[in-house]
Order: sequence, then C-alpha cells, then structure tokens
Amino acid sequence: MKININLNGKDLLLDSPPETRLVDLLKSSAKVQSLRTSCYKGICRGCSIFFNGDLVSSCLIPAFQARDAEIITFEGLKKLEEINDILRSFDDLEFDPCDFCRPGKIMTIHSILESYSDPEDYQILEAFEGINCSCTSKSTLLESVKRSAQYRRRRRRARNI
Amino acid sequence: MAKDYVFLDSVNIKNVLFAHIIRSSIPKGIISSIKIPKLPKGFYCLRAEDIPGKNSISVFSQGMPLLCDGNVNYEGEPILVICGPGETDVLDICNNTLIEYETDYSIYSFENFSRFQVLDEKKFTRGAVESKFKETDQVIEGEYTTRIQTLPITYPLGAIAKYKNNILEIDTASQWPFHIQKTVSDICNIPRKAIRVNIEPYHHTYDEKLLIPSIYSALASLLAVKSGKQIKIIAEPSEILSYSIKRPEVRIYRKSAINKNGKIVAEDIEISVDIGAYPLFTDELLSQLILGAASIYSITNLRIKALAIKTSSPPMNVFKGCGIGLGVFSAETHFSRISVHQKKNPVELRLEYLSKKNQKLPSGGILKQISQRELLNKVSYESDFNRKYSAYEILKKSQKGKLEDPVTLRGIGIAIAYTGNGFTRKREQKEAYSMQVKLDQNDKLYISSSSNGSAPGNIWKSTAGDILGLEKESIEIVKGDTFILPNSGPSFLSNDLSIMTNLVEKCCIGIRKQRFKKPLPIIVKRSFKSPGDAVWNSEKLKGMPFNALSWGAAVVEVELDPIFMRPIIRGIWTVFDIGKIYNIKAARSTAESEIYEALNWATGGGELFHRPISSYNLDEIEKIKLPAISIDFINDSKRSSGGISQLPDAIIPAAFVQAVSQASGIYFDTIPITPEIIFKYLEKK
Amino acid sequence: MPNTGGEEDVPEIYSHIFYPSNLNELLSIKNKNPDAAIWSGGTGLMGKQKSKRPNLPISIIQISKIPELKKIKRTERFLEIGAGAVINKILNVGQHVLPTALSQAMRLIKPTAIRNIATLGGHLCVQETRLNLFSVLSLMDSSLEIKKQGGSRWIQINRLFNKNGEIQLKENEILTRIRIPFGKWNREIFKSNGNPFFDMGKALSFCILAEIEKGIINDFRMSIGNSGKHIIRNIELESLIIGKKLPFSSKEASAISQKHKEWIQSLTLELTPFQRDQSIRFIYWIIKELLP
Repeated sequence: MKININLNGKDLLLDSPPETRLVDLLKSSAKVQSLRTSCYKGICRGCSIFFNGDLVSSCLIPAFQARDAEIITFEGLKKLEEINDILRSFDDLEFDPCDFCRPGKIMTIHSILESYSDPEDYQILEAFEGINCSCTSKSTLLESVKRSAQYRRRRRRARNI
Repeated sequence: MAKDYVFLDSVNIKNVLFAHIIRSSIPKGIISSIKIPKLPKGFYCLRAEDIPGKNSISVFSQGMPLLCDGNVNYEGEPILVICGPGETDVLDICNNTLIEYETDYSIYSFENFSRFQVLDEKKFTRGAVESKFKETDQVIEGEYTTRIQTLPITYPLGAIAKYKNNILEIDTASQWPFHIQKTVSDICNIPRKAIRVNIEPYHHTYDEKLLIPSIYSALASLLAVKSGKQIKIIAEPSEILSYSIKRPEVRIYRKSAINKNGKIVAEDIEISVDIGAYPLFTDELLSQLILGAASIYSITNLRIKALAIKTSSPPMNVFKGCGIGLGVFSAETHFSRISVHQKKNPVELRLEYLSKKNQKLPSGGILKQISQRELLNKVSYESDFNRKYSAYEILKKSQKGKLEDPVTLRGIGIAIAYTGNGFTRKREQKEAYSMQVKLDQNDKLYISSSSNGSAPGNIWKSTAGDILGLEKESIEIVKGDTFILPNSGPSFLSNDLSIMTNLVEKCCIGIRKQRFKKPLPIIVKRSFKSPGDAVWNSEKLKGMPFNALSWGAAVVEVELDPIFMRPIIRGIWTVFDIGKIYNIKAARSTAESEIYEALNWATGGGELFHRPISSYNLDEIEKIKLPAISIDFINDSKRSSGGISQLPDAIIPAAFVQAVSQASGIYFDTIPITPEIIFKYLEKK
Repeated sequence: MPNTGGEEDVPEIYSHIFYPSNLNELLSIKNKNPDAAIWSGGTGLMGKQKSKRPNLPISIIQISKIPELKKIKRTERFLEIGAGAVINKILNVGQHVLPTALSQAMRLIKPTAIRNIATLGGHLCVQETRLNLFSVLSLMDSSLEIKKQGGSRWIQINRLFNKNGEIQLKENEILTRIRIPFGKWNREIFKSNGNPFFDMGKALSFCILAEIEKGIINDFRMSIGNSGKHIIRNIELESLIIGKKLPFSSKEASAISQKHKEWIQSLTLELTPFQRDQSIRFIYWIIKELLP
C-alpha cells in the first residue's frame, strides 16, 4: 500500500505492506540510519521517533498506522537548535554514549526536557527504563539530563527577554 | 557532532540479496523431510551438502557444525539458509518451509545428567584431602548454582559478503576478525589471502561478537560464492536472544572439613557446567571455574573436579569472560556460610586465611605487591561493615517467626576476588597478538591493530602520546581490514587493555629509540610471546595463570521489601586494584556500569531503583532513585592494567546473596534471586 | 539430508485497512465489516509479536484519527473520556480532574513511550487480560458507551466481559466513551508490583477506594489485578470493613487479615502461590497503615 508521511520536514510517499513495522520501513525505504532494532517490543527505545509530536517506539507501529503522520527521527532532531542544550552537557561531563544507543538516548532526553523543565531523578529514570545499553554510567546520565535542562531553561529565558 | 556510525543492519546496498536462517524447532532428532516452497528466480537455498570445505566452526581443537547435517542436537540449530532480493519474500519462504523430524530421542538435560554426557573433565588436587575429611567431625557443605543468563540487550549481529575478482570481501563487527578469515577459508575452500574481512567497529559486547560473526560470515560467504551477488544476513533480535550466546548454568558443590579448633583444613569441590550441545572453549571454561572456585584463601588440602556436561541446549561457553566469576560466587558465598556457622565476622574470617606476606594463588603462583588485605579492610571500613553486620545479625534473630509483619529486614554481604587477563591456556596464546605503530614525516602516529573495540583506543592514544610527546589529535587508530592490519588475536578477556596496550608501549619505545636517528617514516611491529609452562602449566593447573590480574572487593547492603519480597539495594561499596589506571574517569564509569549489570544478573532483571513499599506513605507515588554506589581505586601504576569489566560480575552477586541471606534468615545459594525464589525458600523454611 | 522440495508458490496475504475520518463513517464500516478488528494504538497486539514481520488481523479499521473518540469532557457529576484518547494526553489534560487512583495507575503504564500511543479504550479491551485501568475503573462504577450504526447503549464496565473473560461486544459494536462518576472517595490508593508490559504473568496490582468521615469508614472497595481474565474483589471483606472506626485495633486488624487470607487461599482463580502471599502481606500492611 502507499503511505504518505512527513519525515523530518519532507513529504514522502512510501510503498509497503501494511503490517511492516514502521522502524523497518523507515530503515529500508526512507534510508533512516539512526534507528536500532534491538527488541521489537517497544522496550529498548533504539527505534525512538517523534510521531505527531510524541516520542514512541517505531517498532510498535505498523506502516498503515503511519499514514499522514509527522515523523521526526534523530536526523531531524539534529537540525534543531534544541539539541545543543543536550550536546553541550555531554561535552561538559564527558558523557559519551556509544554509537548504538546515542540516537535513542538523545531522543529520550529531548522528550524529557520537553515534558519537564526541571526533571527529577525519578522522572529521568522512568523515562530511561528499558534502555539497557550500559556504555555510560547512570549517575552521569542523570547529571547530564539535569544540566541539559538547565541550558534549555536559560536559552528559553534568554529568548523571552 | 561527529558523523553517526551506520550499523550493518542499516546499510543499504543496491541489488543485495537478503538471507535468513531456518533453524530447528526441536532440541533433538533427525530431519526426515524438508519441503521448501518453489524458489523464484534469483533466490537461493544453502544446505550442509552445499558446503565445499569443512562444515565446521572451530575454535582451537573444538568445533560445531555450521549447518545441521541431519542430526539435530539443539533447538535453533541452523538447518538451511534462504536468500533472495526481497527481505519480505525471503521471510515468507522461510515461514512456509516445512521441516519434519523423527523425535523419539532422549533429550540431554543438565538437571540429572548421566556419565556419558560428560564431555570433558579437569582436576586439581593439593595435599591430602581424603584423610583430612576422615579425621574431622565437622563438615560444612553447600551447593551453589548460577543459572543461565541471556543477553540483556541485543546489538546488531550479522555480515555482508561479496565475491568479486576472486576476492571474498566480508563486512562484519567482530572481536576476532582473523578467526573469521580462517573459518571462511576452511569452509569455502578459498585461500586466506583471498579473504578480506573489513573490520567494523563495535562498542559494547558481551562476547557475542567473538564467535557468532564467524557463523554469519561463513553463511554469507557461501551464498556470495554460490549466487555471485552481494549477500546481507542480519540476525533478528529474537534470534540473537535465543541462539547466540548465554551464560551457562553452573552447579558447584562444596564441602569443607573443619577441625576441632575451627580451622578449615580441607575442601572438596565438584563443579558441573552446562556447555550445551557442542563443546567450545571447554578447557578454558573449566580452568577458570576451578581457579574461581579455589578461592584466594590459604587452605592446604584442596581437591576440585570440574565437568563439562553436554545437553540439548544451544552451545554455551563465553559470556562476559570465561566463567571465573561463577567459581568465585560459590567460594565467597560458601566462605560466608562458614563464618555464620562459626559465629565469626566474615571479614575477620577472611583475614585469617589471607596471607600477610606474598600471597600465593591456590595454583602456586606468587603474587607480589598485591593488596588484598588492604582491599578488604578499606571496603569494610568505608561501608561500616562490621557494625552493620552485627546489628543485622541481632535484627535477624529478633525477627524469627515474624515475617508477616512488615518490619525492617536488612542484611549486608562482602566478597573479594581476582579476575585475570587473557587465556590461561598458553597454547591459545600462540594466537598471534601483534601491533604495528608508524610515525610519519608529519609527526603523525598511526596505530594498527585488528582489535577494534572502541574502548581501548583512547588508552592507546594516551599511552602513545605520553611516550612520544604527541597530542591526541596527531594519533590515529587505523581502521581497515585483515589485508592491512596485523593479527591482534581475539579481543577477549581484557586483552586489548593489557596485552595490546603493552604492545603499544613497546612499539612507541621502539620508535622513540629510532626517532631523530633514522629517517621517517619509522615503523615498529611487536608481538606478544606467551610465557612457557614454567610460568603456567595448564594441564597441571600450576603457577600463575594469567598475564595480569585485577582485584576487587565489594560490600552490598540490602533491605528486603517485606510485602513484595523485593531485595532493595541500600548501598554498594567497592574497592578495586586493577594495576595501572590510564583514565580514572573511564575506569569509574565502566565500574559503575558493570556493577549495575552484575546487579541485573543477580536479581534476574529485577527493579533496582525501588524503595520498600512500606517506606512510602499510602498516597505517595513512588519515586525511584539510584542506589548509593561508592567506587574506589588503589592505583598501582607499576603493575600492568588488568581491566575491570569482569570484576563486578565476580564479586557483586556473592555479596548480594549474602546480604539477602542475612536479611531473610535463609541461606540462599543461587543466582539470580527473585522475589519468587525468596518466597519459595521462605515457604520451605 | 532429505529434501522432498515443494511446488507451491507462497501466497501473498496482506491486511486490508479502513481509515474512517469520523464516527459515523466508522460505524458504517464496522456494520458492513463486522469481522474487522478495531485498531487504535495497537500496543496490545504489537507488543505480543515476537518476529520482525507481525501477524496482524486480515481486516483492520484504523480509528486513531477520529476526533469524537478523543474528547475529554467534564461535568459536575462525571468525567467522560473518549475510547481513542491516548493515555499521556489524558494524564496531561486531565491532571487536575482525574481521580487519584486512576492517574496513579496511568503513570505506572510503562515504558513511558507506550503511554504516547496506547489508548484508554484499547487498554480496556485487551482480550483475556484485565489490565490495571480496568481494575480501577471497575471499582469506580464506571460505565461504557457502546455504539453501533443506528444505536447506542451504556453498560457497567463489569459487563464488558463475561465470566470466561470474553468480550461482550457484538460484531458491529464499538466502545466509544468511558464515563467515570466523581465519587465520594477521599482515600484512593493504587500500588503495583511489576509491570504487565515486561512480565504479564507476575505483575500484581492493588486498588483501594475508601470514604472516610470523622474516622469512620463509610464505604470501602478493594480490587486485586493480576492481568488475568478477572478482577479479584473480596466483597465480604469490604462489608467487614465498612462501618469500622479508624485506626483498627490489633484484634480487628488480625480478624480482617485472617478473613482475607482464608478467602485468597481458597480462590480457584489463576493466582500463583506467590501472588496470593503478596496479597495477604499487602492487605495486612494496608489495614495497619490506613488512618483517618
């Protein structure tokens, strides 16, 4: 079937069996390279995308459900100014997630920052539940998210002045 | 931001053929028929009889079939491979392929194994064990079990192969690229010099990238040669979870003879490990289990027997190392059990059996400048172990018979162990471990090695920079393939950190000697030479088994949620002595990550961040948080680095189990401990 | 190795998808295609699929775009939520009006990304599984609007499934709204152990609603959920507790716990011994902690 999506600001018409998982469709037909398929259960968050504005696991979405959807992948997030809040905190704390989990972790952090201006530990830990890549330490992750939130608050305050 | 890496499963190639493995759905039997749907043009099927060379994935002297030859020995055994231009079509064909079996055969289990299932055996004896047991009245015994563990996360596994102009080119992420080259050569009957393995970087591994990539590379290569096309074969996550690697189940039965003065005079230990359907790395596994189980305590009379048991499970062998931690679990848990029986403080009992000077390993290797007593004293001081242990013993006694009450149940446990670098079998060390370093005319340094894990790269750069006075930006780790990179052996058991970093040092010292005397470029290559039998005799298990050792001690304090039976971590204290530390921040980060992994294993994936439900107000929502973890190092820069990744697995589970035992008043002797298991043991009590 | 080969081609079967844009269209399509599966978030079905290529119903009606099914409305007496409303949207929009136990139960639907696709209707209609929100809404005497082309009816939520756990919607009917009456409850507690998404067979949840006035329990309801076919309620125990003064004396607390223990151990429902034990401990603790 033909499926219309808006991917990172561009309209695309994809052809796919309706039950193909969105993650596989985006990887094969739309050539999205930041998505990981580690569980196919919606737990590992390697396939995270923003789907009509909300962070979801694209392995749980069949292609037919994505018709007319607005999708932002990590490639799209990288072009936004907001990502600098996160990358700056990574640099400050020498927090360096591996290539495998970096897109998923950054997408999750961005989602946390959009939901909470001053996230607490438990909100961060809950958001990261299921992300099992142990390439980085959890304590530095918490610190990094909170610092990113700080940068985001400052930037938004400066914009509002 | 640096360019993002593209994993193999995301690589898009024009006109590639997708391949998928069809696996056995039964654990034991004989294939009686295979019905494959009609293959459209451009689709291919690969079976065992299509293999021109050896149908075998071999490691040293052991092996397993690449494709099943008709006799199925485990569920999931690869039987055939289908490939074609459309991935969906290939999956459809695979789903519609019908395989029938004759299944009236007994399945080999680990639970009650019989003698003929023992594939390999190793023994270690010291002193007069039998006579000591005859003399003594008191015997303390226990059986300690570490259950199968599956991967907590699946990283991409697979390979892309093409055969063009008589060169077979393979892309894969592997801890052992030259093993792939050899394996594919033996299987495809193509000379090694015509096989190029492009070494893709990987980031984290549980050692699934040690052998499994050889399987996928061989299958992709066979199909590439057969079809003349490029082949991509990528394992699905469920496939990786079920059929790649698992930590094998190990049962260790221990018996300690205590004399009338309360001294442990002899120990008799029997180890059995479930290695699955085919033996691989068996000798190493048995050696390391023995070394771990032998413990570090001075017990004069010691007898250990280790058995490798064949079962109808997928092959199990390596998983975050080679089993030393499983042996340590039994040793440390048993030692604490003895301390409870003798009503002694576990730290004091341990100190009694640790030599004050030049400690000897049970195998006889002498350790100089090792700080075990310091480690133990430091970790017990920082955690306030002695006071808490006594307090929780009193608490335990006062709780007897009152477990329905949601009262405070706390416990604390301690463990100390070492892990080692590299293979113990020196024969295995004859695998080439080579490193090449080149300094060019622009004062740029190139480090070449087939080891491609990303972690040691920074350490090599830092080491080279220190020796030659170069900035990190002018040092490059060369990426490439088996045609241009030297064979650096398997990236396994922290070899990259100890052996290879040592080689980087030697190469750079070699360059330093020639620099300003000889014209550039200067190229220096060094290889590792394994010490002979005089240092370590792997048959007799005598001497110093490893190239470098890492030591660690841990204290784990838990509280048992009296309602949901969840063990909640109140605190973890660790002290490590891993020799030279190249980057303290990275070491700390790795230690913390590995501690959480060890906890994840010990709790069976339990929820680690909760507080006991009775500690909340009724209407309060639960706010999970990280447990307090303290990590300390003793930095001995004179000793080569032993790496840290295996240590938490060795010490955390044992300390955790002791803590849960004290909190609940029950002797636990198994990992993982889940609330259901706690409940089961409580019921029995 | 034997190979008898095969001659049949692999048949191509793909699901047929309907995309209604409003409620009337949806009801009409459902009427004409009674076997078609309703698909809102799809997390229940997709989460169970193990392989790369999911096995989906032959005919699907995708309802995520239907505006009438996403509305959240509040009156003085009740809160109405459309069956197609996404859990996180309900939490965000309704944060000041949602009953406490319901919002606590919603917060415990994890991983958090699931809440961005899962819908309330989908959560309630999972075959053979009564998930946490069903448990809470059932205690709150919620009702459900069931519609078909040309008609609608309201049913008590407990009537959505029969004794065998089978859904009681006719083939051409769909769930459209959930109505939650604003109760008299001044204590609402929801606790759970485990997460059905990660481990369906082990997760256990408890929901307690109490109306307490001047230290006296005027009304009390309690349910235990194990993601099985039924919600577990001990009506006798509830009656024993109603009318009592808080805090319970130790004699009263023991009597209540003993009553619950006897009852839970005699249940023939699929509860593991461990789950039974957990519920005994939990009730014992709650009884002691429940204060005016």
